[in-house]
Amino acid sequence: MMNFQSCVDIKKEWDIVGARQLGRERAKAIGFGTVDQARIATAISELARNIYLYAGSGVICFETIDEIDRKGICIIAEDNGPGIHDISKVMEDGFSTSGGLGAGLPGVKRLMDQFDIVSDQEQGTKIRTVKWVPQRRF
Amino acid sequence: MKEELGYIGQRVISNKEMLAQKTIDLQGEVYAKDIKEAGLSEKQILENRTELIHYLGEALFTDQSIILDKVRDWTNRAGKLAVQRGIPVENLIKLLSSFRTVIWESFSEELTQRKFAAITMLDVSIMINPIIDEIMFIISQMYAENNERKIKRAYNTMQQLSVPVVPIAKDIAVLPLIGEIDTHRAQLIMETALEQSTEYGLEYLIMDVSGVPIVDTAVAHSLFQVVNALQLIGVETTITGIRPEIAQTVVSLGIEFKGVDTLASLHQALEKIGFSRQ
Repeated sequence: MMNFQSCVDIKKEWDIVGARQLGRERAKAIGFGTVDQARIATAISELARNIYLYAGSGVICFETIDEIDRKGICIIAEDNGPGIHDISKVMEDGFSTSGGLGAGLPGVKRLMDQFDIVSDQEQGTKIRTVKWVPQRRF
Repeated sequence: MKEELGYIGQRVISNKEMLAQKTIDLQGEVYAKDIKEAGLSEKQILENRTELIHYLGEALFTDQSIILDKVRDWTNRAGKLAVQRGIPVENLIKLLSSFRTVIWESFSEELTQRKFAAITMLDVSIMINPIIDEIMFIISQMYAENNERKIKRAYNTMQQLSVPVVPIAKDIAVLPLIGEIDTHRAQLIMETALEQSTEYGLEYLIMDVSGVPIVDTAVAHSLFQVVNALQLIGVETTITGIRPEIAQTVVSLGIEFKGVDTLASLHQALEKIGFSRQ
């Protein structure tokens, strides 16, 4: 069951900060610890920055996932930008088109638990990534 | 029915003080409080509103463009005062609506006696509404511009406070970075760190980032650029204060702090340079 979706439009650079602060608060509310909060906020920051740099505008949405045996956060980054031409290349470590450190998407994948990406020239890019609250198993 | 409009207009003008007073009576406690806190006298308020009512009456028998000019002039004066004195815009807008009510009510008796043609009352609306709308439009703009100015000022102040290079010894300084680092601020950090390092003749700079909530690739990239630039002018930079959770995210992102000294705390960095408690 997915619920409580809230979204942040990414148009100005400062929106990146807004998105990650909101994401962090949401993560905290769901019950993630400090380290996971930082991971989630950082992942959001990377995704939002990609939107800002490559698509010009887009949206970051958060949803709380509340299932019987687990809780988590789902982050959706969506834009109508030019799309990613070669997804496999972009998922390689070290690849970068903007002179940054190129850690981008592979980094996000490592920070989160699930990572899906759909991208083409017409529809733009949509990234869906999930992190679960760690469960203690005895 | 031009004659009737003329009659109504003149009636409004001859009753303008009474009508203005009515808007004061109608305004409610909240607005009365706003006015008091703004330090505006009731006399001043009455004068301003009387003037507007005069124009609204005039509008019924004068060319609209002439009245709009007078009303715009009035709005610029009254609006400026309201903005300066901090009257909440939503209350001001609500009050402006009451001007319509007050004028309508003053003719309620004649209306019930059906002294006027129906079309006349419609015309009254058609002529007065655009004027009130214009006032609301101008007022909204004035408030929006004022808010924009306030935000810019706050942002500039924050920027100025944002790169404090604090010399702690002859050639050593500490730069505590607090808060988010966007590209604009990163640029400012670069410029200020370079300028101040030259001015103070620094050899060592300790950049503490414990106050930076999140370090993503963009932030790390900006910091590296500052470190590299400082190296070119002979300043050795140490980054301190990377919190454990940030260290984890940095590693996950694949960011490598190659060639950049990092230490956990300011304390350690100072010891390394040669400062320690005697």
